[in-house]
Amino acid sequence: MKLTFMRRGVAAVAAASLITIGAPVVASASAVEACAPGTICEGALSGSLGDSPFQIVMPEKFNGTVLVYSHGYRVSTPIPAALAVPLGLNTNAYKPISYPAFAPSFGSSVAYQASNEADVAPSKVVAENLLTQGYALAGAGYARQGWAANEGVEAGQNLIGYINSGAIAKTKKIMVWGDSLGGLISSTIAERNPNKVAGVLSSCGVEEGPMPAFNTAMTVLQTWKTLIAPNLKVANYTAGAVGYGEALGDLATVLTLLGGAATTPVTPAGYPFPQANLLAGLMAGLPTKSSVYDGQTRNPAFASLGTLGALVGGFQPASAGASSAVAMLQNVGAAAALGILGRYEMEMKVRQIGQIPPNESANFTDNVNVRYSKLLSPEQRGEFGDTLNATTVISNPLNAMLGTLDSTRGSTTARFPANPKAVAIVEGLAAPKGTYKVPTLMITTTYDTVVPAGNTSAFMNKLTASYKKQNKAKRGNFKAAAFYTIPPADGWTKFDPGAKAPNSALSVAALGNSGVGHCVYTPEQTLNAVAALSKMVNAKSAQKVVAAKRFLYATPGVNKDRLFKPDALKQPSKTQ
Amino acid sequence: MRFKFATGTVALGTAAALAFATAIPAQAADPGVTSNKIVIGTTTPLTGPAAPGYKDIPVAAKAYFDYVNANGGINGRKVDLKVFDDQYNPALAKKGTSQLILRDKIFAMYGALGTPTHSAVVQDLNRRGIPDVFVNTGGASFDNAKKYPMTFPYFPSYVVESKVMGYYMAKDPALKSKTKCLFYQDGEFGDNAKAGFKAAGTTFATTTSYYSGQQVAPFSAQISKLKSAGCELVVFFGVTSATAQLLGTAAKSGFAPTWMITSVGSDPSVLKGTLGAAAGPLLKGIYTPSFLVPAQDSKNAYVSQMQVIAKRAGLEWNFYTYYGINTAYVLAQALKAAGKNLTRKGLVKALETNARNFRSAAVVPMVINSKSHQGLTGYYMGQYNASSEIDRLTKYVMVATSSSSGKAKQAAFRPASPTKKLLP
Repeated sequence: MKLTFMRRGVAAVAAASLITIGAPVVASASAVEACAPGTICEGALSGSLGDSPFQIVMPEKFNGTVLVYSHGYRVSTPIPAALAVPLGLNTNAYKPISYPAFAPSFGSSVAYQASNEADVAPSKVVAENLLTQGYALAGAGYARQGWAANEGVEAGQNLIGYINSGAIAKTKKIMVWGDSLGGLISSTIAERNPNKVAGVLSSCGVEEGPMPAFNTAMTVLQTWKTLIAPNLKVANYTAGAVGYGEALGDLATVLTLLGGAATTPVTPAGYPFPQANLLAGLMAGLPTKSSVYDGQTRNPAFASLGTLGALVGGFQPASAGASSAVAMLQNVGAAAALGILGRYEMEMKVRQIGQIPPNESANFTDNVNVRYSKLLSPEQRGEFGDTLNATTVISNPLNAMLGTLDSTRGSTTARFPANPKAVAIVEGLAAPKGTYKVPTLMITTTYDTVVPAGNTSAFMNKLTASYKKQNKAKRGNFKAAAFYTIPPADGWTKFDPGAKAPNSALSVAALGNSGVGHCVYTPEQTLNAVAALSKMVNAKSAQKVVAAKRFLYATPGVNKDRLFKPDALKQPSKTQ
Repeated sequence: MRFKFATGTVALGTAAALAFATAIPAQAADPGVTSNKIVIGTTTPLTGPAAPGYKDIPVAAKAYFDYVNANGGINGRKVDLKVFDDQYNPALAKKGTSQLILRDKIFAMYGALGTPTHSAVVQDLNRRGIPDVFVNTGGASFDNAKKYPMTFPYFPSYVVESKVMGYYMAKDPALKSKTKCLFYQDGEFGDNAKAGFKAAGTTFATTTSYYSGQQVAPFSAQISKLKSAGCELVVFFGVTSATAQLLGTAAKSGFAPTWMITSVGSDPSVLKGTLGAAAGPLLKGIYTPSFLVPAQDSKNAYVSQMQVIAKRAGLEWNFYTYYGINTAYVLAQALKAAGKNLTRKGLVKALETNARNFRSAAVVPMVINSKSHQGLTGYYMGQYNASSEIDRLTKYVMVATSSSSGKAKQAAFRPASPTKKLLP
């Protein structure tokens, strides 16, 4: 392990999340010097997959616990500004760059490129609070971006080794935590290093690995290609820059159509747009609630003007189902971003690792024999059937759409056969197996629009099963729990008086960062999750473990229903 | 002294053990049951567009339970029915169900209404082991004891109903030679109907459909299609508000076929309210299946006693009041059969083993056992009279299953008399 580092004064602590790392100073691994209280130490650790920058932020008074953070997915390729802004990628982790090749197609050469900077916490406010509590914060960037599970695990493990070699003096315990892909990375690190890691907090973690995540996206995009935009390429992108152009073209098509959905009742393929898109999302297991549309509240005009009057006046949404349909228009955008840009990156990774030649497919999610009609559960059909049928664009719409989707079953041209070599590579990427080894706490939004909450419950089931198989005399207390944040029960879609559509800003404010969206929490929820993990790690009895759970259950916006379970992940392969 | 001391220790230990033993009941009580109360819950539209008619059901059920409570309750416990207004909104049904489970600690769900609304919660109720008794929808998907072991439909599924309609149309000399057409609501409702007619071997000259909510505007295009196809008998599978729109639009366009209307689209009180003075002539002669003794048959012992309960509670006598009291009466019998040591498992067992002994105003057999939770299994054919009431047309009943295969068959069924004072 080669080490490079630089050191920064305490004044930078408050701006930890905004720091730009300068050129690192090279030092030898043997010259480990403890990071002083109240300072930020930065550098890079080299591993077999490349160099990983790290950052350590020390509190003024260290409580002995180091929190090692792994950040979430970052798109590996430059994103045109015209796409990055609607996708919310113009954040601190992405830097504006000039990319002249984008100018002809996207009207500007401005693009956003992910950096490999380390983060030590999901937000500045959370970092500052944890430092006040005396935690030392550490985090590693990854040698590559995209689905960087292997790189993240290596970076995290190297950082832990560096900490244990003296980089943080008086370390009593190390807990790992991360968001999204970082949750998967943290769980993997913990599972592989139970003697070095005291506990793990996976937040909105994609715990079940890449296959379910990309199957979700494939379901959305196959439905889109069939019922909405037949020109989508969807998968098996051409190697290199040509393929990147294809992927950007797909993404632009999806975002453009979503942007015009309100005025486009019929898709280019001739199907009802809101219904086709809602069907895509339901079959993929995406939530029917978004930050603006709660799937519950209809426009007050329907009560005051009557149904016909409000419909004629163009007021929306008309019903709970209509609210869900618009929510799905919001949610599919996020799923498509991962499904397109993430897929391109993964296919290129697979080509590189497996040395797959350009004339061979790099697709790793096979959908040739999927029965899409089976992905719509009877309960979804019952709950959303009226909404899916509420159109005169075609007759008997739901059955017609499902029939069209299933009509291509078995076709290797209309569907996407996988290359077994690609499948093996993706299945071999770093991911936790679900073996219970260290105290584990998971938290997720109930309505996660990118990583369905079913990831968390499925992983919890694995941990529970693993614990039950362990030797009763040796296994100790089961220190694992999953928590789900919830939105306001009375709904959050808000209308200005007489408005035809909701007020987005008011609605988002009413939602209050709880329960809906990907890795969206109140600072209190995140901080209490860390505190609950710490209590769980320190618990010497079953009662103390229960007390740790109760502490988090008592947090505003955390579902107190111990028996709650989110919808299970969809399993396309089981429909065959 | 030493011996005495030792004896004292033993005695003390035994007493402590006994005290401990008595502190923990032999079987931990399920939520919603105390020594003197049973809490049950329901979600149903009390407000909003779907409320007319349906809102009367829980009020009537409450009136019946009040009557039972005033007469000593069930095995010494009074029934407390908690009602949540879901406005026929699945998201609100989820919220309400959660509230009933977590806040009100219900023992069982009873009479939850609607396919979209109940589809949103049925898995959760079953996963938690909460009895989900007498669901108020004919959606055939709920008739699945293997998948939903805690769920018990009450009225026959739409598949059963369409099989029965098919059977009757093939048998009745006045109908069998008519050119038949089908008008249905898209979705599970219509899919169930088509499945039943297919199993019955019924063919239609043409079919047309509407989507839920479309009935706010006239069905002009659909009527035009039916008219041009020369339909002489139109079977309609839609909700009551759509029936009113259909009959109104058809009358205005001079289209007057023989109509056969699904039971859930046939409520006389709602139709009369919507169609006004035109209801009488428009409804007269329309065929519609039914499974309860006609509501206007005051000579019937069930109807007369239920009318008394409704009147004492100040309720208007209509089909929904009648239906609400009737299902509450059956549930009360099931709760009594579950015994004094009331548990959720015990209620399920009571339903699965005693259903054939439950009394009610239904004139068709009820089938509930460990393999089937079908509930009521068939219909008689009814017909609107000049007073817009539904008369019983057939002395026999027709029964079928919710399976996508198998036809309806004629059956003789003689319901047992009501229990004394209509108490469980």
